[in-house]
Amino acid sequence: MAPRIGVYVCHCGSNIAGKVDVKAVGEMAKNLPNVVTARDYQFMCSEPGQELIRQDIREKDLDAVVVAACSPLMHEKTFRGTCASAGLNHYRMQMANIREHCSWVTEDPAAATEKAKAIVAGTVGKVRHLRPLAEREVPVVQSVLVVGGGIAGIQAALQCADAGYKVYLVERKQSIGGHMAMLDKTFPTLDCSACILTPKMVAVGQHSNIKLFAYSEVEGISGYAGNMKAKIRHKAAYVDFEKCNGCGICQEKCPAKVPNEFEQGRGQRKAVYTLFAQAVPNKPVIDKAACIYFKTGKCRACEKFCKRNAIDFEQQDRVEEVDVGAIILATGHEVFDATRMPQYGYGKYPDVYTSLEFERMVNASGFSQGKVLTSEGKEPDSIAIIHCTGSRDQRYNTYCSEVCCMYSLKFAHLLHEHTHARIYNFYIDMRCVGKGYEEFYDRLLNEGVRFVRGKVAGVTRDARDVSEHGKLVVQAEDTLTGVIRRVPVDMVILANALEAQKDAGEVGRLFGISRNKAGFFIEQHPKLNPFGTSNNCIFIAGTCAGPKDIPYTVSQASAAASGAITLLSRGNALLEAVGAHIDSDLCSRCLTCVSICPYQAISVDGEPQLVAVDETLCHGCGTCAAACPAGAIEADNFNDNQILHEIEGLLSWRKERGKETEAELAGTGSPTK
Amino acid sequence: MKYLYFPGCSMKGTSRGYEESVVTVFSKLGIALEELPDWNCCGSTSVIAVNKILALALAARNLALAEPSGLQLLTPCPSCWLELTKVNNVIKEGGKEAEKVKEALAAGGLSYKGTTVVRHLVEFLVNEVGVEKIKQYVSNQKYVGNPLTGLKIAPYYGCQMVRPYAEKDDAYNPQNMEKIIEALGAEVAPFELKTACCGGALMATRKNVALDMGRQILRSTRETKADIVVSACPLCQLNLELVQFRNDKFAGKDELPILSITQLVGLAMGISPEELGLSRSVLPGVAKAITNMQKEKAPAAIGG
Ligand code: SF4
Ligand code: SF4
Repeated sequence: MAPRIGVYVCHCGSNIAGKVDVKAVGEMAKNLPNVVTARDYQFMCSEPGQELIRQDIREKDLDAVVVAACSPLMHEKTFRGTCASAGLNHYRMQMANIREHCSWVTEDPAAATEKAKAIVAGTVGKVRHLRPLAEREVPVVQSVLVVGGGIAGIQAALQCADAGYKVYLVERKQSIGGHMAMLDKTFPTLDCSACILTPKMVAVGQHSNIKLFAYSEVEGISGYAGNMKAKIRHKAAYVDFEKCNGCGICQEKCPAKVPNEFEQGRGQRKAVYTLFAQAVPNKPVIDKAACIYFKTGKCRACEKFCKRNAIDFEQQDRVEEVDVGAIILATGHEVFDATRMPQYGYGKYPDVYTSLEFERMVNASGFSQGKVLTSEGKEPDSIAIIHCTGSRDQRYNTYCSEVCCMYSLKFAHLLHEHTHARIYNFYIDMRCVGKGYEEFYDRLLNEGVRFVRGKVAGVTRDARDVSEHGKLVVQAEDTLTGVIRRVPVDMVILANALEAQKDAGEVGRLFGISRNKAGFFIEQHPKLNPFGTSNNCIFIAGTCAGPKDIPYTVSQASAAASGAITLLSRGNALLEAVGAHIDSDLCSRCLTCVSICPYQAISVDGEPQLVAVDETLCHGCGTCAAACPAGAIEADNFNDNQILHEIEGLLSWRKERGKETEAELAGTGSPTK
Repeated sequence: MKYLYFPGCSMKGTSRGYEESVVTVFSKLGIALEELPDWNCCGSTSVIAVNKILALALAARNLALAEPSGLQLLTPCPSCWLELTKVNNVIKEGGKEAEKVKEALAAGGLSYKGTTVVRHLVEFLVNEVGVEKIKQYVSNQKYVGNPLTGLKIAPYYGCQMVRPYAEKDDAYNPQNMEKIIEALGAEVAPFELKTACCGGALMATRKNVALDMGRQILRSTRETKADIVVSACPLCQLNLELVQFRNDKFAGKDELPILSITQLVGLAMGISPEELGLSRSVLPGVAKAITNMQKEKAPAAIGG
């Protein structure tokens, strides 16, 4: 029986109708074979729009639907629901993207209209051959894996645990806390960062639903929707965490001293060490590279003094596997390496500090016990804070790091508290967007901080006159007055950009999450789902998804947690219905597909050998179908027959239009050949 | 191997001393230089401000003349090097500008594919001749070298050698001239303004600004107690001499010799000041001053 197709062309307000003549597209569609009805409507996704489709399915007995509107990423789910509710298998609905692929990117209205027609004709060609499919439901494992123990991971873990789910929190360092644990005060309220963070860290450590894997890393992920296995490597700490009670005697007695990374290398720590005083868990690890015993075979002082016999030089890495239903990635960021901007003198002049160094300097428990002194031990008379170090700069990172203006203001305020120095803020624009942020800026203006609008060109010790002798001279073009300024100061603090972690690429590959140009993880939808990902069992939170401040991080972490909780409490996940199938008569057992499948869904079994796809593991990505040299693999609803009919639809439309359109279309990106 | 030599206008005019030293030193090093026949202005002068395509086409013509020989094109002048490198990039990128440049060349019966390799003298000395070979010439018994032991030398790069292109060195902290100075047995006087502009291009239009820029560089080198400033740019070299020659009270009292890089290398190789064109210096008595300094410092340095 011939299929009965309905075509629905959406205006999307003026998004599509502003460029494409939607009426003409509808008229064209009416004449396509098997099309029973074609309509256009202001907003197809609205309730009346959807009702139009439902009505036609019932009354006109449609068995396939084409919605010509936006990207399927946006509304495929919506229209699948529409069809399903009217009794039509939702895999018989196909979207024709005439917004992102057409009206938004084609300049000329006439060309856009022709292109929209081609896209619709192609989609009609394909939908004729689509097969009805059904997703399967699988139960979801009732536990959550949280990767990263900064404030985002902490927040997400606590929320899932409070909702009653088992949480595995994996942190690669020996303590949770992340960057927030290094900060002195937080803007704009000036609460002490540690004071608001520590209680949450303790709560994580004590929560009966949270299993904290510190000094551990996720090494592998396998399984399928809602049923994933995470392989976790517990790195050898050479300290038995079960026996250790965190007394700290080993740290005290250890003779080996190395730069302290928590203090940004400005202070020292021992070879056996906890990250900081309030660490959770409060257990030390031995840094193999620094330990005298590991280097020379002599020492073992820590072992001698440890009353609980917790030191274990024989300890090995241990790998453990846990089953999880949802994953929250909260792997954080790192700060821009200021030595990449030699013009600012970091690493060359001792009195040039990075933002994190300054946080530790001004912190009472930091490397200088909160004293702000120059390298010569003097109180500085003047200090410059340089905004946008490594951000908003074509040479380094083009994006805005979002937090630097605000923390620079905070620095200026703290400097006023700690010194009598004159403070200069060199900025490009002040970006103080947030609750109480602009007010904080006003407050700082009133505190007498000097603001110079100009990107700093360089910091030099080249003194032109006595006022510059022995000083760091900050040079910038003051773009408000149009003069070049040379400002001599005793100390420079750089507002370093936030960057994606160096290994974010590997982490992304491990979890199958894509990244943007800057290296941050991409959300499922930037506006409507900023905490989900393309995998509906994996969520993202915090700075691994882009620079953000603490309130925004905490909100996103809560949202990610609620996403995981929703999934777990519903109890089941849908497995994508589209899958790959192997025709064993055609299969030559070359095993290309086995090696190429990103989800390890294909296996070889039996005698004679049979290559088969595990339907639960298959994501329907189609990689194998494309790679199979024998053409033995077919992916549902992407098979050759369907795609050829789609292409024919696109081309037949042009044939009907005749040759004169060819010239018209050249350069619009529409198919002309 | 043979190299094509692109002098640029300065080397034939204000900086004949620099050119003489290039020619002498290279023949001593056994490197064959052949002057590019029928070369023209590199296009880096005022023409850039007037007609960009003309400037690019001028540069491209030289590259087009060099291309059939397949030889690399060596220039001692950073301005020329910059302009020639720029047009190479324009051609590589393609687009409208490249089209226009090619049209202009075609009108003159020339074509350019973009294959001529352009090298600047300083980078060439480091990467092609090699620091080790220079060391040999300076201190090996086989040659009558005259190492500059005990002398403190300030390497002044100026702006064009590192901006905007710095493929063969660090843009903010270049090291090539330092390597050469050390190979000559001398000590490097590190100074902050080594990549600052000398102001030379402003001499005709904004003299005060230009003078001040030159003075700052001299002040900065003096602070390091440098005996000599070495430059690899004809314009910088001349400008720093002129600032002092004007008997400018801001420039400091004792005259600071400003040498071109090959003059310095030549002296260390034991070549006579005359052959190195030192007598063409604007400041009088430069050669003598250096010989005196060497006499004074060398034994002290050896004696510890
Ligand atoms: S054995 Fe290593 S960790 Fe233990 S005290 Fe000695 S240096 Fe420190
Ligand atoms: S479509 Fe093929 S490659 Fe993709 S997941 Fe399924 S079996 Fe693996």
